[in-house]
Amino acid sequence: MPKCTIVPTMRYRDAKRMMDWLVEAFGFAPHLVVENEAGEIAHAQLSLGDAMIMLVPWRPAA
Amino acid sequence: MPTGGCQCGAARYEISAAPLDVYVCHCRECRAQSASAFGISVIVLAASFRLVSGNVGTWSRATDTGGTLDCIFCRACGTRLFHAGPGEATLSVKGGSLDLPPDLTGATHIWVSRKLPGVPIPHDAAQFAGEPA
Repeated sequence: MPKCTIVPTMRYRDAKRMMDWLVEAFGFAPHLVVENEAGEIAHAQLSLGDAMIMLVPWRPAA
Repeated sequence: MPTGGCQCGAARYEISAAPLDVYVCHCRECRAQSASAFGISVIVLAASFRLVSGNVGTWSRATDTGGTLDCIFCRACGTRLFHAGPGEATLSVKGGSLDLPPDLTGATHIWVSRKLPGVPIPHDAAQFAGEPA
């Protein structure tokens, strides 16, 4: 488990594309990635060293 | 390290930190999800949860508070594994999926107003008629 105690969450209209870019550009490693029926990211956690971020889809009501 | 998985064994997970809480929920949603008398929710830090194997899918539903709950299941056998609220720091692991069943002695019972007749609740258990205040 990452040692960080704060895990920022970012919402994206296309979280899958953003995840791919973060992995490619900065070397984030997928920790937990769950897709919905449409193949979009429903919930993703990426780690980089001791840090972790969460990616979730942008939702109008959220 | 707590481990668990689905009924067919395709999806496996591990949890690297001790659970924060255990709830026994008697609400209609948890009864429908578990197809049984109640649901068991083991609350863990999202960062401590790691899916080791398996192909999982998501079914999302609206919550009473207007949010969304993502319900993750094994695509091979359909076993519900955990629930995640988008952006929340914790996950709710379904208790029956753990290899070592959770000890319910100190569990908090919620939505007891909707429990099935004949389901006993320990006298000294913390309990709430609905959602904990």
